[in-house]
Amino acid sequence: MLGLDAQLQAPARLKIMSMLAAVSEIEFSTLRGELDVSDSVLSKHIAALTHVDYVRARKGNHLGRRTTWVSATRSGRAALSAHVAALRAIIADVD
Amino acid sequence: MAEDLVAEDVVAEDVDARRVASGRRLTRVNLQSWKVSPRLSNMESNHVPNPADASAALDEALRSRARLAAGLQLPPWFSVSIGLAVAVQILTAAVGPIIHTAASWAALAAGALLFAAVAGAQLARFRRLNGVWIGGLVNRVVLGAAPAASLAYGAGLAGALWAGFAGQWWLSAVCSAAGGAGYVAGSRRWLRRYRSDPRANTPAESLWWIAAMFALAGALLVLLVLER
Repeated sequence: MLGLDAQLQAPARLKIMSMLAAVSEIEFSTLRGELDVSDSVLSKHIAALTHVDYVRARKGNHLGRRTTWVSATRSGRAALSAHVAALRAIIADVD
Repeated sequence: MAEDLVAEDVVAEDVDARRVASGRRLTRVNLQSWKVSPRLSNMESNHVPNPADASAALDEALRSRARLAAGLQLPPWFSVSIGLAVAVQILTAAVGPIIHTAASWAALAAGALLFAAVAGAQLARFRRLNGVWIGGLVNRVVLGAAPAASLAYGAGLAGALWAGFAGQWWLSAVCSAAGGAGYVAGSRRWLRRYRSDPRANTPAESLWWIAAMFALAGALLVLLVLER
């Protein structure tokens, strides 16, 4: 199917990319709280999405505490748009 | 790339043959070469979802995004402090070139510094409170790049300058306050629009647009100084 992205087929990854599209940057702990998943699960998803250059992660520092900030790359936003359009096309086929 | 994949298949078949020869039961899934084979992991798939699955996945993703956007809050006194800082900045920007003394120029600089300090502090509070950073909030709401905020600021400054040149300083103060209030209204409007369509309202204005606005403001200030 044209536009469907194998990397975004997992619902959790689609949710991550969808939330990243709504902000410029989000703290790892905030994203984890919104998704209600464990650190390790989120880390794996972020690592996989970083590997295909859909997501960028950077380390920050807040009041002496190490923080990780995650953002969607341009190619990640484009892939999300294409994937969502493909999903909508599938849905529209039966509407 | 294709040659690499073929080579990996050959290696996989070679391993397969050797293990079968050694009498060990083996499935292709257990091959050591799975990490480098073109096979996708269990989190990735080329499977085309049926319409019900596609709809469920999309709805859930959009609900998550809407939940995130709806949960974002402006820190207490965010709008009021930004509005006051903008009003003071407009008034001092009018005072500087009209009175044209060292003290009035110092007031102009102090107004700009006050705005920068308040804006920086409020943005840091927003980030700490919500754990997110939104480019659109920074330059459309705080830096006034949104059309409504730009218009309010421009009208407020023009009114304050006009009243100042006419010697009506009370009217300058009113125009400055109106400019600050317009700024605040713009920020509230942006937040409402952001919550209804987060994706469209997240990106910041282009750097060229912001640079052009600052260049225009600088040129106007220079023009006013030269006119004096």
